[in-house]
Amino acid sequence: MTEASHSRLSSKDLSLGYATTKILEHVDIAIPDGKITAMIGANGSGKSTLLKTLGRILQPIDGTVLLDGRAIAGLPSRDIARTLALLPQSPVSPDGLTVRQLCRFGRHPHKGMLTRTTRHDEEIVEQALAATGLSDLTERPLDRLSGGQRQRAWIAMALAQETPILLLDEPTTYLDIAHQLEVLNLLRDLNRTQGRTIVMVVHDLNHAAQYADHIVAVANGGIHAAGRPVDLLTPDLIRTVFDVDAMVIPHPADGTPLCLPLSIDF
Amino acid sequence: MAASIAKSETRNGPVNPIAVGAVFLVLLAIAIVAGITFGVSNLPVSRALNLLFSPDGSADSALVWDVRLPRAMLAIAVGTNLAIAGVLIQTLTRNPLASPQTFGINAGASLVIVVCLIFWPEIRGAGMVWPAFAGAATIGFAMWALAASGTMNDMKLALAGISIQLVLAALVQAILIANNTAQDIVYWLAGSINGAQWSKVWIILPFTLTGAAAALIAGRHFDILALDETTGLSLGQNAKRVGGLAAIIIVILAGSAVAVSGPIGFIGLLVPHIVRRLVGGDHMAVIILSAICGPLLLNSADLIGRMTAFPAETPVGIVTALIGAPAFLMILWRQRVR
Amino acid sequence: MSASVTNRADLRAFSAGMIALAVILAIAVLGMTIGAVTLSVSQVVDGLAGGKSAFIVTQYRAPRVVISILAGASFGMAGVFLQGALRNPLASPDVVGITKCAGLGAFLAGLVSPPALAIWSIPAGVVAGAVVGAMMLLTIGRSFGGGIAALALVGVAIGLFGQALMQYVMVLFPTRADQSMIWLAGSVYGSTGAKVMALSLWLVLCLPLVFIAGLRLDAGGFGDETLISLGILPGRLRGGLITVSVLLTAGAVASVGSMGFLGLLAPHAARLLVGARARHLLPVSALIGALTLSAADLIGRVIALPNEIPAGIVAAVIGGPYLIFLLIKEAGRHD
Repeated sequence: MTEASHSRLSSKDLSLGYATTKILEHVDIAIPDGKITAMIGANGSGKSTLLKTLGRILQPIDGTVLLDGRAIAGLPSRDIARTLALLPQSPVSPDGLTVRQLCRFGRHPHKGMLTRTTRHDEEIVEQALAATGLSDLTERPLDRLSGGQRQRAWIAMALAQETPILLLDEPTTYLDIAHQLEVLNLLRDLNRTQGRTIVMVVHDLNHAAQYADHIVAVANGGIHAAGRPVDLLTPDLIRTVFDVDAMVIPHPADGTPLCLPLSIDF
Repeated sequence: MAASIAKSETRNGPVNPIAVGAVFLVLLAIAIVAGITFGVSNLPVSRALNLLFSPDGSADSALVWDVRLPRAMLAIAVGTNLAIAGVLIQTLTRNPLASPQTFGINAGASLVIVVCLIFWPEIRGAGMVWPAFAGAATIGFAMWALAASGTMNDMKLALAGISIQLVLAALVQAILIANNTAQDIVYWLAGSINGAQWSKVWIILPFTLTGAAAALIAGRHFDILALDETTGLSLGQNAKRVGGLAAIIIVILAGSAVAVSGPIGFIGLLVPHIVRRLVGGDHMAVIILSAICGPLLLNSADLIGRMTAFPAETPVGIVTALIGAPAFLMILWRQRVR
Repeated sequence: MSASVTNRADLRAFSAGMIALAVILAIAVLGMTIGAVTLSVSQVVDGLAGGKSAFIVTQYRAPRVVISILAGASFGMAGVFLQGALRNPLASPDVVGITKCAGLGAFLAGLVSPPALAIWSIPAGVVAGAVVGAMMLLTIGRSFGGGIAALALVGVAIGLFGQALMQYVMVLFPTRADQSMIWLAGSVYGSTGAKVMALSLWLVLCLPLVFIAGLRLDAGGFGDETLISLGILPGRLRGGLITVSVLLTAGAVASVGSMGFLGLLAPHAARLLVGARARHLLPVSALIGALTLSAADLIGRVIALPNEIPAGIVAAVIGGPYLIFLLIKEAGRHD
């Protein structure tokens, strides 16, 4: 694989966890540029922790996260924020913010909070709102949006940040199936049309299979496997990672792997 | 919930209640004797004890019998009242942060007394008990309604109670200032047993005895009250009747204490926690031991108040607040761990 | 469409501010007519312009009115900043004990320093007390995991402790009891031109910080993870907002003592009127704080003639029920 040469975000010998217990050890990961990467793994396997560490929200116990070949810990936070945006699982927003006001915050790394919003900033915000299909809802307060709309508004803010890399922690949780697909389709669009690198933690294996170009399976205190969905998603892997017996068949519509769980293996 | 508290608090195994009671009694006796010997004119312990058992009509004897002994006795009665009221209110609301003070009941009693004193200055002594009951009952009912609505967690309820207390305290202050009686402010805000006389002891004593007796007789039922309501019902308990009885006892105990000593805080909050931590959740034991621990704590606090600012006196309510506020934080902390 | 919505909110905030300002002015003039000698409104205006009643108006009554306005505005803004920094609607400096600690600091400083140095030592004591109170709150509160009511309760306990400590010192030094009553309850009685100058100067010094913090206030509503993603350091942002809140509180306490509940009431009333955006909330909260303290002082002066109820007590009586109301309203939400 030639991933390493096309990866702006990677890690070297990373160990993560909390004060006493390590969750993951010796993680070497390279996020392929311009692709959608899905992180999968059982609850508590450390996939979210890994994502947050890549996004410098958590500090690793050991090892380094590299952004464009430089240790992320040594870079100014605002510089990172121009390259990489992270959307938390259930983000908290200030009360009473409208969609547009939220989206404007995405411009912060480019201008600081003390300078006024420029014409250019407003154009970027407008584009982000258009890309997420929110142009008609710009003045709607966040708390009056549906779950899917709200998630798109947060994605719009991340877009306005104009970062080539976008990390998302379980962007589809708490959403019904229609809204899940709404968000995933949006992410695929952004990847295809704007070439953004997307890394997301997902729970649904079939979503990972359908939408991701690259899958990272986290299990047993490390990266268990990484690769293309077709190569990676096998009954063996699903048994090791989730402790579940499953059949994998080609999806009738698009040929991506489709995982059908059989029963839980006690 | 209270039952689960009791369980976790006896993690290290409960101590024998009788042993705890004996230790408390010895300590209480020491505190009382110390209280009788210590003062502007210090009496040797032997002399004080002598006078206690055979008064000889001397000035020292009068000091012991008319000044220091009534004070100790008043502290015993008030301490008992507040401690038992604390046990009952924590059981009734299943809230470990509840107490006559944190639920604003003391302040309610205090405010109504002050208002009545303004309009009927001739009210003296025993007459102050009835307005105290009215005030305690009103605030108690309001807090009960808040608790029963079930929308507030333990901490919010305690916060609401303390806010009520702060507002009522501000009202008391305003009324006293408006009527040129500012020198009584500390008494009606923080509480004090300074200048106690036998007459005050006789006022509170009947209520102490009645309340304590009622609490003891009904003690077995309170054990069931500590379980959740459904379990109580399935055990054939009329939760409402027991709860109502507990509420009446709380009002009588807390109200009469405020009438003679002002709203002394934290005793009712701390004592049940101390006792439960030592002996576990059996309500009979907790009530009896609280009735000893309350007086012990209040007498000790009074002694500290008299010694630390000597020759001036720190009102005992200020001492209990100084000890009680950090202890309250600790209770909060244990609450969070759970 | 965007512009019209923003304009509507701006207009709303502007009109709310103007109405508050008008009421403040009316209370101010009314406040200056009342006292041992009752003056008519025209006499007051005449006095302000240097006329016959100039001495009584400018030496006694105007300072008191101005201090009420400035200190009330400070409390109002301090509450907005602390609530924003901690994302906790109950976290105002007066609820969480910071004002009580500041008052204690002032009292202790006044006690230990020679009277000649009091002009320096008391402000220093106020700031020290406020900082210590805020640090205790944050250290203890953080280890509690930050439930909304938990933090407030921790603060209340700290406040009660500070109050008891002050009462204890009062017993030790009975000659200073009068002073400590003021620090304890909060009063604008005895405001002088010098106090007005001192507080104005302090506020002018704080103004750039208030401005910067105000621009960052909205961001405080985001979760820490979002802040980091935007390239903002959450610790620095929240620390900065808390610092400004503490500075404003200190200034206000140094001039009027530990006023109760203004920092809670003003931001909430302002939020109801003009919403939660900082650019509207901050000025309107300042105005409502000023309005409330002026009104509390006026009420305290007239309600129990010839005695005077300290404004802090009146404010507690007005503001306390508001806290209870908030608790009931917020019950079941958040945690």
